[in-house]
Amino acid sequence: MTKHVHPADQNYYAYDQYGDNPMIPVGPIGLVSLAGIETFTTGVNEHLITRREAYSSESDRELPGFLRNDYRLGAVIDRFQTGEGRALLMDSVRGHDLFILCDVMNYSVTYSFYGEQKPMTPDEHFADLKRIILAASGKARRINVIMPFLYESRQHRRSSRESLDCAFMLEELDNLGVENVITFDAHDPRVANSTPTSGFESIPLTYQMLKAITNRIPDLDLNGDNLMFISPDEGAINRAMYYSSILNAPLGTFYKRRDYTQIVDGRNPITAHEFLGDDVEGKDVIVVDDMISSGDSMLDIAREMKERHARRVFCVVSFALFTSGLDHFNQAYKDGLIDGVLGSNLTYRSPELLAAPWFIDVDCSKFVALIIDAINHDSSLSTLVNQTAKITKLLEKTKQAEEVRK
Amino acid sequence: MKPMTYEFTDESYYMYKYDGANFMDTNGPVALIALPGTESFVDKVNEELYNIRVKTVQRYPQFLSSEPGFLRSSYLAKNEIARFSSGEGKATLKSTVRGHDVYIFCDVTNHFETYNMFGMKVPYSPDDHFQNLKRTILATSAKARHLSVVMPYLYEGRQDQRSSRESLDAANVLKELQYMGVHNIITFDPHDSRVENAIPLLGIENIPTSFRLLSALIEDNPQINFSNPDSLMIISPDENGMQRATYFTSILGLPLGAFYRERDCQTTVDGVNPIINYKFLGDDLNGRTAIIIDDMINSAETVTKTAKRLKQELGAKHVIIIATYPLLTHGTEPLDQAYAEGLVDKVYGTNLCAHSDELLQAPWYRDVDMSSMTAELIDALNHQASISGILDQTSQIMEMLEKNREMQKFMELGNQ
Repeated sequence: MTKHVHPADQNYYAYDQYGDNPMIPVGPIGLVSLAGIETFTTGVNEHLITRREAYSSESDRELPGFLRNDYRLGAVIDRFQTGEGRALLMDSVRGHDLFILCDVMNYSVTYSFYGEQKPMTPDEHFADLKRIILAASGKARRINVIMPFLYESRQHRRSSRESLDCAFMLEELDNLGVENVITFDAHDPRVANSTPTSGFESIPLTYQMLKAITNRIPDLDLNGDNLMFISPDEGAINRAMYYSSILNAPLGTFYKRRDYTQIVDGRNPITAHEFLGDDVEGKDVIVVDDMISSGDSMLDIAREMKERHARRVFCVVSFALFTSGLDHFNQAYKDGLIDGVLGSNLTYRSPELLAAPWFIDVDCSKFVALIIDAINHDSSLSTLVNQTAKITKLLEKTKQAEEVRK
Repeated sequence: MKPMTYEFTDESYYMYKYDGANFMDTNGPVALIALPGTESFVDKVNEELYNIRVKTVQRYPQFLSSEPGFLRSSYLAKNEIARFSSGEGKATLKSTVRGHDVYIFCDVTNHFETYNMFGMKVPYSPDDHFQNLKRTILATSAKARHLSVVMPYLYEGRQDQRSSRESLDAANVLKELQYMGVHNIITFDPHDSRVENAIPLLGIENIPTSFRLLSALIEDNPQINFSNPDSLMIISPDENGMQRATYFTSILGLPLGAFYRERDCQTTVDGVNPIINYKFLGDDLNGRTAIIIDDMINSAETVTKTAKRLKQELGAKHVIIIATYPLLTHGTEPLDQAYAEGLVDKVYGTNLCAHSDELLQAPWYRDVDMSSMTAELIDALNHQASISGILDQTSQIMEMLEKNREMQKFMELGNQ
């Protein structure tokens, strides 16, 4: 087969999100959505169609299943009355490059359990994921799992006689023949040690978040001196450091002193919060973290920042979970403690959260579609994962816009 | 105390001895771990095990010195499942299991237990229970000398065959446990023991509950003549349960009747293929007592329908249902109603699955306790003794039948 190759292209392996990609795709793409991530998958599907239509090379376009009106394949989970289940595939997956999407954080999905509607737990979402893989096993050419919020990612270390859940989850997927696990902004990417020979990608969302910041908070001066990035604890400092270095803005960090010997309500109680960093007075502060769980510690930080006379406080998180509801954030917004929260659409957001005036929903479906297209081509993901060049371009653009405005 | 007096002339040195004369090396001190929802059952097993061990040590005190941890007031190892507010979890062992012979108890049918997720109280589902089991195994992380899982009701046991593009869940459950280093999987009366094919090197212990159920049945009903094939009939509610039922018929010498369901295999409604028709195969049932044998009662819809046909169409005098797992997914109402209408006389079930208070208080229900048998099994497995004596209790049943016959004669005399 003759394939269109970029003239004089040394980077035949690098993924080009606008042009053609010379590597041969690994079979036709099949998107399988688990319960609770259908809307997002639909978005991904649409972006994938758009992306595929932009391919110009005939040899690509003529590949079987390369251009389709719908890349989604039907799959259902049947539940017995006892709550046990089985997966059924409605379409053939033979020879396909399967991408199974799974949101373990979607508690809004329910099923009938002993006569009652029961919200689905992370354990059940994960069990369903395995069921789909079992139903497809041996038939699909390749199985990839897109699990934006990495299940059990916070159970990543052992400090007493306890279980290493995240590592074992990855081992299980590896044993089931999953070749790539794609997640975003994993709590601790070192869990990949559990499956050293299989593909594990923890993809940062920095570019998507910065783009949303520039688009949705237009009066924020990204290039000026009045901006500061804050890490809520020492564990998240790398994330905030990246933002601050690329934007050349100062960095501050909190220090959480936790009592790791105890768990209260599923968390280690915090014994003290301490701040390290420059004066925040009059500055716009952006707190960067991987997730808002209950949101309590985020509010503590916002309060601390306002007490130190920060001008505005924004939170940028990949996953806005809000496990204790929204009341405390609504109140904090009213009290002027917090000015905005940016979160991705990679996990479930309740209708109340989407309607909240302080919440900015960041769409990542196009990004995921590009990642799928790249992985299907077996291209290098580095142009998608290393976002420095794209961010520099984005900042250049905002700088120009600023100058024009002046 | 006298020194050891047991005679070593025994050819069956490997058999489990109820008197405690089990001199094979143990797999280390026993540790029982109860997952959420099994606590009360494990407490009972713990007590029974203690009783067995006390008797053993009274006869053979050498166990106290040769086997550290042999006799303890409690064999429980405390385990804690913490749940994060997102619903994810982790297991933490509160006591050491290093060098122990660990038995983890898991009851995936217990939907009465709840935990907090996103501020909601959610009941534990089978998936949650199974993850808890794996968490606990992960927390023992190769420290235990020997690791057994006691999962009476085999999770996903009914998803045992593939007929379309579907998942083989039961097989994968077993494979996962094997992969995690579990040495033994103990289940009671599995739906289809052929799922064992998933782990041919390991296998599973399929413990029949029939002996205990049968002895409870004989004990409770001295008025029934179990040796009279003209007054009784064993009924299999469907073609899958025939094997289970034939066992009862052969041990009791009673005739078999079987229902056979015609299913619409093209469609799936609520997780099952709808049944088109039931057909009965068997002798005349008129005036006889029908004993329905099954492994589980799901919603009780089928079994009440069967009972109705047995009574109203086929003329059965009494209907007794025996099922290891009365799950009752739609509560006790269907059987309450059937009892009130006189369709069902008694239901025998075991405490190997979780029960609601309503079930335990229902006048038609008899709960058969399996904790002493489980304790015997654990004692035997800990001694690495053969459990075939526990699995095959035909001789005990024969004794009970003999007693029943004597009772019948006695009652006849009384009537004269």
